[in-house]
Amino acid sequence: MTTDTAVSTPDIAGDSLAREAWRRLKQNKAATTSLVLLALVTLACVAGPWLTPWALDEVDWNAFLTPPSLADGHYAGTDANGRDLLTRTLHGGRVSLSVALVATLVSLAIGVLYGAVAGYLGGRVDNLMMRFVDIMYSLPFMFLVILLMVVFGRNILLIYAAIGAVEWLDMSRIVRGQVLALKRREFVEAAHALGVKDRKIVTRHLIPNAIGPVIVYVTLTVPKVILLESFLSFLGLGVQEPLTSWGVLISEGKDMMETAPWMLLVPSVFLALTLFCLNFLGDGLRDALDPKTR
Amino acid sequence: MPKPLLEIDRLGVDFDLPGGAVTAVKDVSFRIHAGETLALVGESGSGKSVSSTAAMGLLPELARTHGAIRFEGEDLLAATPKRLRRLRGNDIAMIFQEPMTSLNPLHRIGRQIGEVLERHRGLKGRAARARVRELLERVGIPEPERRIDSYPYELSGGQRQRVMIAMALACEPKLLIADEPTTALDVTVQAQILALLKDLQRRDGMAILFITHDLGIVRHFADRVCVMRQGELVEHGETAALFAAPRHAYTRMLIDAEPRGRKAPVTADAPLLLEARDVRVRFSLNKRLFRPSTYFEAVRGIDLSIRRGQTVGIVGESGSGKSTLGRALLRLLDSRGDIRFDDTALDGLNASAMRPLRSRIQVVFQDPFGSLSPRLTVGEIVGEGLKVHALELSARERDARVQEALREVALDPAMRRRYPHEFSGGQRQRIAIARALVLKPEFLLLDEPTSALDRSVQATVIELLRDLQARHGLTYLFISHDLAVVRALADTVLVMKQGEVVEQGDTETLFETPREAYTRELMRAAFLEEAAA
Repeated sequence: MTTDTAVSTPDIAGDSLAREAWRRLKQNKAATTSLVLLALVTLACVAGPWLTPWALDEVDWNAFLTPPSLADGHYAGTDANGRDLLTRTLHGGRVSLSVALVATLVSLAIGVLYGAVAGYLGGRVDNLMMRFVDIMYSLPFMFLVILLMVVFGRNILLIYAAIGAVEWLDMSRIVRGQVLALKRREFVEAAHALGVKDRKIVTRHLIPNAIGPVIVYVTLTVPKVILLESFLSFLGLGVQEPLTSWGVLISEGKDMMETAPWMLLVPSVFLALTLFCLNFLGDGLRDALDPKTR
Repeated sequence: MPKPLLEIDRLGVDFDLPGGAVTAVKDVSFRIHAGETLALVGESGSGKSVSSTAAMGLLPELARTHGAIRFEGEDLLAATPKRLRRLRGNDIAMIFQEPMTSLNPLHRIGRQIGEVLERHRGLKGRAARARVRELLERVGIPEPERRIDSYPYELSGGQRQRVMIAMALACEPKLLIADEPTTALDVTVQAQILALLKDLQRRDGMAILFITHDLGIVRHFADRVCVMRQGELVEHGETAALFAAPRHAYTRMLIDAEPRGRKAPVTADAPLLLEARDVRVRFSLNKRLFRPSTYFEAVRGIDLSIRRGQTVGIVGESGSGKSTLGRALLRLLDSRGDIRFDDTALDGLNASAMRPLRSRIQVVFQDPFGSLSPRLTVGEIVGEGLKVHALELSARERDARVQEALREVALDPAMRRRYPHEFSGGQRQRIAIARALVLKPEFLLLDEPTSALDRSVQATVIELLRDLQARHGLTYLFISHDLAVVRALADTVLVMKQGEVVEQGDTETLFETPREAYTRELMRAAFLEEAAA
């Protein structure tokens, strides 16, 4: 039987949850590898386009649809217009990654807070807040984007705003569901009995305990956002030539699949690698933030 | 000597966990003969449930077993999965602890019982239905013809457990494994279920392997007892002999863990600390926009007064409104009626007016697993109240107070950097008590603080509560369905039923000479071992 009297243990130096989570994340091999790879991809996308011998829209009149080769400096081949594919892929990564980052952060910030507040307050407020979400859902996404275009003109920032404005809806629903279940737990009631303010209960007791599903959902949001952006660009509402993104490059590559497979493969490898890493990193983060897996 | 029905021979179960193998059961041997009841007793983690699931072949894949489990001479550990499926439900049946979750909520109960019959007896259609009705009748379900088409949610906890028993009995098993079948039920329902099992056993001559942590039941119910501790069998013998003269120290400790002692009364002139008049709590069942809502009144006009230093016990079965009353007194729920604490009227105070009083009125909840936030360290949990009520304290002073509170509940202050999941149930309950104590309250609402704990742990927590009360002159409102605990702790007792007080009075008088029939019924069910002894 476990005795109830305390077993003496050395007083561990005060680790904050964040530092401890970081320590646990470092022990997870898949997550750390992913983190390093993600950093490399990001670095390549940020710095790469300056280092490659070709510019984004520079046409090499001697090389149309050439396969990858070290000799002519087109390390990942060229596209049908004779532009260097590696430069374009890295450049496209800037757009895709930044859209993913910004839209995900927006959806995270708005969605978590909105959902937690709705779930916690409950009753009529919850009803009103969630009906607003339903209304937003029922607006066709395309319609929303076109509307924004009409008002503000074509701008890459609009893509961020439009995608962020749609993605937080799912997140708020997920968080609300979690909070609804959590707020009935006794530790929340105990916090009430201690006189803890509502704001503190939400930020200290409810949101940290809802973090697991949130992180899983974030890892699902990132690929969704990247694909959404390429869909917009494909319809001519997103980034425009000569700018590009991974989604656009893949969609172009798809048409040339049989004659120039590298046009599909190069951007796809970058996208797949990023998504793989994000999934492993998300799993690692979820475990690292859960004190139980210590 | 006749051949035993089930023979467990040097059974060992290990679990292969990522952190290394954990031994759950070690070298356990016992046998059960036809028609006999063997009780397997032990506290949580003693391996009693693991042993019985091994007999059913239901262990998780991580488990490795050695030794032998022989059912009518056939080794079950060596049996094929197909053979085991034939035995399960047919020759060996099992009832689980949780009647609320053991039934599939989407199927009518007739169909769930019929499934067993179809599988093992090939009964279908009308024949199966007739048999199901007969079974429901035997386990004492009223109106079996109508209930056969009910969904589980339409039945009470006791009725669901009866359905589970009917399902287990469907194929007239030779051995029934009952894993804490009454733990989740109220005492009066528990008494009925036990009587039913006894009766069915007499009629059909099946053997029962009864797994429980409740020695009261064992004494009343079992022919022989096996006591398990940390995966080992420490003692076994005839029930009467074992209770009369326990040989092993652990068995003696378990038997002695029944709460003992009585509380010393407070002086009659002690000032009133909490007074409530005509408290009513109601919940609206369906909110409608323009029509009047319908309400369910959970607490119906309760008067209560508690003097400083007193302990008032509230007993009642689930659904009697005792917890609701407690929450209403603490203003965690909206209620009607007057509530005065010391000299302040609590009713009508809003959250911010109530806040300064919160440090004087604290609460400890039942579930030590649910009442601590899993993502905060113990130090943060205990110190939270100080952040609200003692803003003047520096982080260092706060830490000192937290350590003091942890020492007060006999926990090592060095453990404050750990997370709740690393502690046992009893330790968690101590943490919850420390969280309440750190504010130095005058009044403590204890809502079933010992119900989720093993008997021996329960005894230490009761000792702690008693000790704290004596040291700090605390006033308790103790809510419990466990009459033995209330008797040991309370000065006066309220018996609640359906939101009303059935009877109240001085603890000793009420337990010795209960006036109301309902109180008598409760006592008879709760102290069944005394009736049998």
